[in-house]
Amino acid sequence: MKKWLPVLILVGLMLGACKGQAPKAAREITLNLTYIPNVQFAPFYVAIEKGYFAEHGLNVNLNYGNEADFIALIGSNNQQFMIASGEQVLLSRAQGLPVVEVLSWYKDYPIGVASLKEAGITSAADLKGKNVGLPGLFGASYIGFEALARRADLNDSNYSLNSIGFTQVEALVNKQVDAVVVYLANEPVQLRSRGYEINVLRTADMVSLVGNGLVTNEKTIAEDPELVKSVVDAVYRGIVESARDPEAAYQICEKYIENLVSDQSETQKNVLTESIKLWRLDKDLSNYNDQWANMQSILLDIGLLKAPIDTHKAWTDEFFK
Amino acid sequence: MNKKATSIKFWQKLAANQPLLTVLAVILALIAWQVLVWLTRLPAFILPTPAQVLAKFAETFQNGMLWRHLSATLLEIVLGLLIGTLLAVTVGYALSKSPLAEKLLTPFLVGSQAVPIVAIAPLLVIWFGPGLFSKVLICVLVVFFPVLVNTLVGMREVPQSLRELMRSLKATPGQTLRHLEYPAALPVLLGGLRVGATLSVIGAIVGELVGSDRGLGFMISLGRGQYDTALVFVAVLTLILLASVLYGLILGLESRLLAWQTWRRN
Repeated sequence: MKKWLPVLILVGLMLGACKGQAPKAAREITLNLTYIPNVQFAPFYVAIEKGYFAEHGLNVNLNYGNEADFIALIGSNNQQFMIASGEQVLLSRAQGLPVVEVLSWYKDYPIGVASLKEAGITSAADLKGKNVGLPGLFGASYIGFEALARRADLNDSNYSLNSIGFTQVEALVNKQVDAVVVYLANEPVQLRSRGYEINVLRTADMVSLVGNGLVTNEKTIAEDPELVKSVVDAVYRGIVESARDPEAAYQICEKYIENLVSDQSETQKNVLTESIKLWRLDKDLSNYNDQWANMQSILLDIGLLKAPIDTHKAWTDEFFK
Repeated sequence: MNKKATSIKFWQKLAANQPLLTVLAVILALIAWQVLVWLTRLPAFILPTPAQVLAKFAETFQNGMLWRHLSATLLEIVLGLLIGTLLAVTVGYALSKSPLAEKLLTPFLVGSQAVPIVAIAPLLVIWFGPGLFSKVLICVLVVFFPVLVNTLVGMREVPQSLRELMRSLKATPGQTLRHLEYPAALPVLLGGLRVGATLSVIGAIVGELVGSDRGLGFMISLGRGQYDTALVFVAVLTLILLASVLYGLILGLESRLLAWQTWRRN
């Protein structure tokens, strides 16, 4: 018996893994969120828990991962819904992926530049000659920083960009760089909660760009508009409800996010509060065309877009009115 | 002189006691780690102390988090290792029987090893979805090559004189495989399996880091995202432990399956 013990333990562990993968009911949809489970995704957890999706006969599976990977799945109609930033929508459409934003979640672009107070960086112009850390020369962080710098008449020769992965907090604290490009609702909150005094420059204060939104594809819009309408409705109600009662939303988040331990809860609640400040809680999209045009202009300036595309096709308010 | 002899004897005795040496090495590493934290004064979200990691280990063990993610990773590893080994041994055997096929396929097989798994893992997740299948596939891919190469080498090392003996005894291909090729190639093949087992752990983690909601790789992402570096350490240390256990199991399998060699030597 003793010699079979390791084998029995292995089998037990494997059965444990299988147990959590029970099949789910019909009319399932998959919603692809980037990153990892996080309080910033509270509207989706709230919409599930409050039954907003269920009211439309939908059962939602949440996926977490890389935004660029997911957008390929949505563009090829292998999956139907994801959260993506505006620049990803335009870049994908330029590559022939027919993705469309159907719900504007963020009214402000959620990127900024943080620095320790002692560095004295209080305006974009102060970035001249500085070492700036960012996850990489891609994605919302890169676009957000370039937009901010260009509005301050700076170009790549005026500062040094360092790809540091997602280690902005550590790099800044260890003074490996002078400033870091951050997600406004996350890293500044993490830094302040650890007692660091910081300055934050917001891209949204310099230029209005398209932030995160619910994205699907043209085929789904054409063939299953009711589904799109249902998902938009459920997500929007989740957004409004989370903003109305952040405390209750946080309690719901605890069900979906592992390791939200007590010593982190105050910080995580602040992350949620800061996120809510960035969300679009009304349905006023009167300036939205300009936001898309600004985004396209930045992408053309940087050279990520080679030629202009029709930004009107990149989004629709048909389901969001 | 007596004192010196006693001292030498002590060190010799210590060097011969492997379990004691292992425990000592771990204690020394923990002390060095703690000293490093004291000296650098780095905050816990950059470098936690051993005590903080131990506390996190106990917490995740008690609330079931560690078990849940460990079992998910283990499932991927075991499936990847089994399927990868089975495929590699089958293909390796077929190639050893057909020099033409070996010459045709070798450039592709060698070329495929030049592709870093981290580069193609996102593509595999896109093509096959973020579920169990893509993770197992990544494991299969990393396990396949070392086992295949060792199968080929093992088959080639079968002495020609013994093959001729089997032929003279009019042995069927099945009998030759069972009584000659399998036992002769087994030591080398098991060596490949040992490498494959360690690599499969890396494969599973790469898949989970690309996109997943369970597994030790996911635990690492979660810890990073929440600035809970102690959680990252717990996941990494568990991985080390898991890889060591797998390696040990294969060593055990090896000593069991190759007991006849020891018996023959004796």
